Amino acid sequence: MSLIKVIGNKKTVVLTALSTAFASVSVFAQETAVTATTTANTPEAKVDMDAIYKSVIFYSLIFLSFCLFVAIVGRAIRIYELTREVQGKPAAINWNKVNASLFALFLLIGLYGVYWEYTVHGSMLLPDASSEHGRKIDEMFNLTLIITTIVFIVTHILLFAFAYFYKHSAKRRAYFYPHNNTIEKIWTIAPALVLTVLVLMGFLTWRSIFYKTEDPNNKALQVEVISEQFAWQIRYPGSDGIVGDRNYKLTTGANVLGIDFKDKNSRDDQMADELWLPVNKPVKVILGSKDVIHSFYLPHFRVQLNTVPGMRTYFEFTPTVTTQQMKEKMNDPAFEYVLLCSKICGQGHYNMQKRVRVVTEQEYAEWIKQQPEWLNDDLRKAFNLPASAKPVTAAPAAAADTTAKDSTTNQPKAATI
Amino acid sequence: MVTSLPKQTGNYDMKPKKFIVWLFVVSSTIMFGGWTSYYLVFSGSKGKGHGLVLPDVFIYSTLVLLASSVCLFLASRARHKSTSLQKRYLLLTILLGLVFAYLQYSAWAQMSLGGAYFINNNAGISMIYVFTLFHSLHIIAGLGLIISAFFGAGKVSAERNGYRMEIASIFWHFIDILWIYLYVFLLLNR
Amino acid sequence: MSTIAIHDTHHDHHDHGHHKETFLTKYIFSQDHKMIAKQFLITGIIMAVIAMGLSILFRIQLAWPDKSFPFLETFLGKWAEGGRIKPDFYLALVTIHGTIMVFFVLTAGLSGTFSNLLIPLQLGARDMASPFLNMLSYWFFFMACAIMMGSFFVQTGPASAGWTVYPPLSALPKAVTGSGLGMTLWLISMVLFVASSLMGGINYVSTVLNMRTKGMDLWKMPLTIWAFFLTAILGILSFPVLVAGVVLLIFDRSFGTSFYLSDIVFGTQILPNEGGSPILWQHLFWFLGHPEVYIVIMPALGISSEVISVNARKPIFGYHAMVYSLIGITVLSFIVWGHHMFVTGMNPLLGGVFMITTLIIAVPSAVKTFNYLATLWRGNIRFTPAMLFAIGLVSFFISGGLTGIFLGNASLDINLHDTYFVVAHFHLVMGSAAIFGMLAGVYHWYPKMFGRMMNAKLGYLHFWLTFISAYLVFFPLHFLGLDGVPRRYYVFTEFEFMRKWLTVNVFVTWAAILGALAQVAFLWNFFYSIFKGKKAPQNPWEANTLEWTTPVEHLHGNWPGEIPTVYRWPYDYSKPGHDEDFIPQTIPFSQTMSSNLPHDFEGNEEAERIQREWDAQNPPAEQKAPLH
Ligand code: HEM
Ligand SMILES: [Cu+2]
Ligand SMILES: [Cu+2]
Repeated sequence: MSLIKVIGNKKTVVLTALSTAFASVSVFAQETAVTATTTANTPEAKVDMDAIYKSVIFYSLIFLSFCLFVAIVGRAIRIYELTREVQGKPAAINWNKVNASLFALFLLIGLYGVYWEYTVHGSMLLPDASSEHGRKIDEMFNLTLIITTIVFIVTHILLFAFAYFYKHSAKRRAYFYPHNNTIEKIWTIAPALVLTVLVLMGFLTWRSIFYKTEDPNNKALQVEVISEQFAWQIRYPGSDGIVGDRNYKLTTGANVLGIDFKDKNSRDDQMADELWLPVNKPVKVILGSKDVIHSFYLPHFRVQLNTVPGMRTYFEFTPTVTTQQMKEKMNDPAFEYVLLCSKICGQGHYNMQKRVRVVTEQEYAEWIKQQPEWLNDDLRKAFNLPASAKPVTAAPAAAADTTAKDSTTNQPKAATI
Repeated sequence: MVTSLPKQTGNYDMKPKKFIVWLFVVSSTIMFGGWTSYYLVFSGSKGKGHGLVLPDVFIYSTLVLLASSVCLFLASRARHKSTSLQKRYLLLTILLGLVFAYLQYSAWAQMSLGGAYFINNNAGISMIYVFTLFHSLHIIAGLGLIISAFFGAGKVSAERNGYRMEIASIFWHFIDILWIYLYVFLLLNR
Repeated sequence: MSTIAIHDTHHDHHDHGHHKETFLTKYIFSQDHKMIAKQFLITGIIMAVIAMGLSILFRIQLAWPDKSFPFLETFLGKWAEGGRIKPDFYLALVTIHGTIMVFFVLTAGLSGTFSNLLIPLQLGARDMASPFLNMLSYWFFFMACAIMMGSFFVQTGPASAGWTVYPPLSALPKAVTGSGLGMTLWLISMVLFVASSLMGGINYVSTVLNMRTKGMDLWKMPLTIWAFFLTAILGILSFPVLVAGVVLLIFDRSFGTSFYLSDIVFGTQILPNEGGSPILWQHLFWFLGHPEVYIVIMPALGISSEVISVNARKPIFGYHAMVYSLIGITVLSFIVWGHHMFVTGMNPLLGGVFMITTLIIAVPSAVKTFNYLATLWRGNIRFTPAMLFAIGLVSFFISGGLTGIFLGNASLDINLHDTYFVVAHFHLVMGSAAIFGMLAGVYHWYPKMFGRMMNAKLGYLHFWLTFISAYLVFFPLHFLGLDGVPRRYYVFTEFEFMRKWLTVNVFVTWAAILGALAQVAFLWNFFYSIFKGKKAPQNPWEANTLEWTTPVEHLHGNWPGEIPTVYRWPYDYSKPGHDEDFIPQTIPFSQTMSSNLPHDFEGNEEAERIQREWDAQNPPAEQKAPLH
């Protein structure tokens, strides 16, 4: 009797399924009609819209028939089992066995899947780091990857193998084994030791990245990069090698960065459309933001640091591979380094890019000469500076102490108009 | 529903409920802890605090609050002896609580007159307002508890009376200590 | 003893007095913990379905960025003009998806359901410490959900600054449209939500500490209760900090204070705010945020401990170690928040410190994993749907935990932060693992909640489809991250190097759609079985814990007579010498003389002596029926 009831239910299910399908068909049909009329004159709007509708309907029908299929199969199994039960035979399907075997199967396919992922997707990753510290990071990464992969594989083999081998059997009893202090100690201490090694290495790498000792013979090139929605502004330090002060209160249409030209160091600062970096020379990027938090991200160099309004942040690194070399290495003439924004910053977040070029020292020197200065005649007037004053005495770049000034550049000065 | 239970059961419900008040005290402390640590990090990184001479009203309000705590304590003690005495002390506590609230308000007025507005480029000053505002919200809640104890006194069973008194006391003394903490904190971190 | 008896009389009285419960007090403003649990669960499921739908929407955008889907315009109106989701709406979808999943589904839906259901039932209490607060907790949660969903209907759209709502983006309507009214609603919703969580958490802690039945000392509590208890403590200690942060953000947004804002210029428009620091929000947020991820996973771990032990017919391996590792996680999770801020430019020394604490927290997590494996070893595993999900949880917890080791290493995080690698990490360890824990709980305690059984075969189908599709979705995402693809990107077409991932995105989206459709099997099973499922026996899984000693029919106060007394820990499964493979907690040792072990008596010499005498009389060769 209950069977009949259920079959009756099935009917209603089918009916509802079909009616939903029809409903959606008709809705979509109307839809096409409407959009067809409204967008008839925009040329690109006609892109195989019908095909999309058809595919939506198609897929929903597939899904519905799949549901139906599942329902029917479920019903069949149920009837089969019931008949076995009525006949007093043992259960036909041992679901424990089914699931255990599925776990075993999942393990095998999963292992192959992991292998496939590691080799196929694993070969699509970023090339080796193009910076000094980046290589250390890559080494650490590889070490961590090896350790974690081993643990990953071993634990999963255990997990699914146990699931397979210890599936339920009425003949067996589980082994009462509530604890074993020795084993527990071992597997507390072993991961602790491994992690200690990782922590130590990570800590040393981290320190070497953020605590740089200044090499007087190879001073870092200062470059300021300022983010705003949704662009990057670049400021090179000019001949004095020092990026001058900035005060957001001075921002005007002519002075978009709010550069404070009262500061002599600002007057020779140059603007640039691309971030050019001389190879094998340390560069210290000074980061700031005009509006919201962005993140200065150079994946190829393993460099990332947030740019925060009201705060100056620094990242020092040394590019080691020029763009040209990279093109050859990757065998891709179109290769370029990129700068992207990796902190959610609004609707244009996905497209906040700048090209980065690593070039030889000579190329850099050539290029930087052609970059315009931020200070133009209008700004000179605004800051009461002599109209055609020669650039501030070109102090030899080496003499300027690049870091000592940082503390002063840090303090935005009060606006004076 | 609970109130209609035979009176023995009051005892049974009480311990967990009192515990709830304690836990509330803990989480509230942590909320203020969040703000005071905001303040510390803020003043640490900017090298400055609110930089104000706090209005004298705060001294008076502190004294008033302390006095109210004492009254509440006396009320608790009096409840075994005489309901009317208990009620009188409770009334006094409520009055003092209201005076405290008024004093806090006048402290705001005084600060604003002195140019230290809530909307301020020194987040330290804004923080004084946040402290006092949220502390005052606690005062309102605390007054609610005391008022319920006040109206319960003599009406509900001795057990429930004691229970209400206890809850009100835990909370009110907590508010008291919290305020002293905040005040001292502000004095120390100018 | 006497108090319990007295309470029982109260109880009868109470039942008689309330025979005519109205629909309103029974189903809507119920103060009964079991009903409130169901309310939490069903609301949680509805929110999960909504959040899943949102994720399918933005997965469609990621997979086919150039195609237009006119039916999206039908659903979303101006947010998808021309059948394409707009960038700011994309961000809104991501934000609300994350918020709903983390807070409403995995915090309220998970803790709310199972703490409410199981704490009184497994501890032997009539109800929560304060049933009224409990009811309030649900209704605050409900309001939070309603307001959050309401933000879809405001003109400027829902909050869209990511679920972490970092200011200034979240503080300034100028920065993104979602930071207008939508963000205000988000904040209001969050305050209500935190209030709800606090009321819930306070109630749970108080109940656990004060209302255990006779004999139920802390070391006899099931691991579920330990997990809920520690989760509640975490919540009490961390949620207030979120409130503190949110309040300041509200002031910044609506009143013009400068707690988080300073030096901000839009184009050439200079904002008056000065002196604040956006980093401080991050500290306050992550001081909650990191414990929050454990608030999410710990109940799931507790549930799976119970489910694995019951269905492997074996005691959980290393019960004490399991508890200590939960405690360790609880404590440590308060000192690791900085690992979300390695690249904010905070003091690098701090970064080093947080790296150390973060990697330490991996140790207790590892211990738990190994203990699960040891529990399965030589078990007699019954693959109920709940067990399948619990095993799935272990798998995800391993996979996601291991990627945490990369992220916890500050040096590696430089390149991984805010990329798809993080997305993959937390979806495995938090998304998938915790959801699987929740589903395991639903399948396991469904008979307790609704008095009926769910269909096991549909459960198998549901599990396998979900398990496979979750891995198909999240495993490849790691590689996007390793290639430097940042998260929260609306399209990948603007960068040359990301184009190669477009096909992967299509694949992932199809896998996600498969996973979403698989949930139909669950939803059907869940709602159908409420009315038509097979009637449940009292103890369908042959489990030891107290909840299975209550009658199938729900009643106020849970047990018709006296609350049972507890004599033993909850994991006496397959104990040698006992005829059945489980011994409920309510069976005294005097009834199981043939299976008692020396350490069962915890140094009670009298009991040990009796046992010795009994052993002398009953040589183990011929196992006798247990004496009385
Ligand atoms: C082995 C233990 C774990 C370690 C070492 C670890 C480490 C980390 C780290 C360092 C991050 C920050 C990554 C970044 O933003 O760059 C992170 C993110 C995250 N983790 Fe874990 N984690 C662990 C376990 C967990 C667990 C158990 C959960 C949840 C139940 C979880 C959920 C999350 C979430 C949600 C995020 C992303 C937050 C965001 O939106 O930025 N993690 N994890
Ligand atoms: Cu950006
Ligand atoms: Cu974390």
